[in-house]
Amino acid sequence: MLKTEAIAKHFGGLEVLSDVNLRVEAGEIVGLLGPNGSGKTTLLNILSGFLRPSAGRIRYDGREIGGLAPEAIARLGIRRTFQLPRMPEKMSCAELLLTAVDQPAGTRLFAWPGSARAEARSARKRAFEMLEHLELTRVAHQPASGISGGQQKLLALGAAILGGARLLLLDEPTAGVNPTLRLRLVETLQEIRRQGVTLVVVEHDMGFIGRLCDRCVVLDRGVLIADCKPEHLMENERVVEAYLGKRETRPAASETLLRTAEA
Amino acid sequence: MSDFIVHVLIIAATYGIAAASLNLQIGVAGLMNFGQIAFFGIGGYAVAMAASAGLPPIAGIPLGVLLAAGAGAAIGRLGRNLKAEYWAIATLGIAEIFRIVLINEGWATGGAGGIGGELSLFPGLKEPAATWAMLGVALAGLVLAWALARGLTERQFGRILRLMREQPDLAVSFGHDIVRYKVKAMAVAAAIAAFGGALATSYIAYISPGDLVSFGTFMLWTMVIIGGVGNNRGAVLGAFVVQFIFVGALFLKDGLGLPSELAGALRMLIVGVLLLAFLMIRPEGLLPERLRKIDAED
Repeated sequence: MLKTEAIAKHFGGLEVLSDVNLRVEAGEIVGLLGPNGSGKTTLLNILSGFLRPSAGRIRYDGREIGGLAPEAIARLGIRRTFQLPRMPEKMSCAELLLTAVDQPAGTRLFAWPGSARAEARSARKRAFEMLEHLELTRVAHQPASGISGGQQKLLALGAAILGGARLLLLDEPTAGVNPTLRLRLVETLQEIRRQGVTLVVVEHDMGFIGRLCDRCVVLDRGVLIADCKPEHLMENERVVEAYLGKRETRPAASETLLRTAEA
Repeated sequence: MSDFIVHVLIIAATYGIAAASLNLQIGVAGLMNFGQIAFFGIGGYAVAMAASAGLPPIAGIPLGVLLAAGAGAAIGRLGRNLKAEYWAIATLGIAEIFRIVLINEGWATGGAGGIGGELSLFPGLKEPAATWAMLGVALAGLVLAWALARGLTERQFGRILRLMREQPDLAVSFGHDIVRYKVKAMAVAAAIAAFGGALATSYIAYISPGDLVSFGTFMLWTMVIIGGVGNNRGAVLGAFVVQFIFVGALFLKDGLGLPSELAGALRMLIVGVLLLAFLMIRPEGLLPERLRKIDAED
């Protein structure tokens, strides 16, 4: 479904990504891991068109999308969420979801009232069904920026689905989300996958990755160092090194941590 | 006295049209236009130049509206390359360039002296019927402009503009081409402002580059801020409040026995103080923007 070939990105002299070859098959949930500053969010920004790669190609369903504008990529069905939810203050959750639903008559400057009305009615119905599905009906009329961080992440997810996501790129969906909501998020994301959406998830929470992902790819200092099933992550010496340092220089505490994680 | 009130109502209504247009830009789309008075001027000059060319002044209205829409779309397009703050500075510059061109192309624009004469939309009517007819047209125009701005604000079009104003990256991630929305919003808003300018010029029967100095934009901003940024009714209310205070200052001059050269400065001062007071005490304006209530069913 999505394939990158030798993606590189540098900001001036700083090389953030180099020679990244990533494949995502339709229907998969892929975890994208790596220590802070390893280039995960940069890669997500490149895949969603918010940044242009310095080199390399991105193919989506056989089509080159490397130079496209972010809104054009979004309209092809590649939708993303942000690490820190960016929600408007002067818009309710229900209205925010409406902005994500395609309404061609409503966005024209001049449209026959009848056509726009039917379209708006169906959009409202879909938005409220989504709110109910995400258990957000209670906050439907509250400002989108005023609900909890976890609820904002759910809302962003709902908007992406309503917008017609086929490939969903999630940037740290569990950051700032309480443990109960994290479990629900795993269920919600698995259900989204069952509906035919492919997912790439940037994440730090290993437990979450283990429960959710079919496959993990790990970035370290801009280079892909591993591509394996989540249960095999800890067996990969390069991954362990990336997170905890080399075995000979690793502090004793890290070894304890590692043994706990393996157990 | 009633003549005076009718006069102020007509002027307030035409400014109200331009304020509704400015609210569509700054309040709804978040486009900080510091050159709004130029769109107002395009409408005004279209009426005046149509009359100088021997056409009926009313023919200048559609011409001005179309020209302004084109200019608005072109300025909106600049947003592709410029960040919001730089775009705002560019609008100020463009309005000044427009004014300087008007001063220097005297063969067509009358130069610094401007264009005056018989610009009435109802050349057949005598006074006071003509003034009353003008009041009717100005108020009807204001209702039309307000309804158009409100309709656009509350539909999906305006919803996306409002999202773009607050969270542009989120709007882009939803697949909305924000440059296209900026261009469309600017085109419509400029057309509305030109309509207001055309009515004002036709009523006053005179326009000159002196009417298009940046103080005009400042007045329109004050109207929108006092009325309530993001609220269409607020922009119209703000236009009436500011216009009545602006002319009311003239009475203050008489009351205090001030020389007339001070009166002009005094009323600018009063508008400035009023703006500052609102920004400090009630920045959301008289009629703040509220959350829209969306219901599942009609």
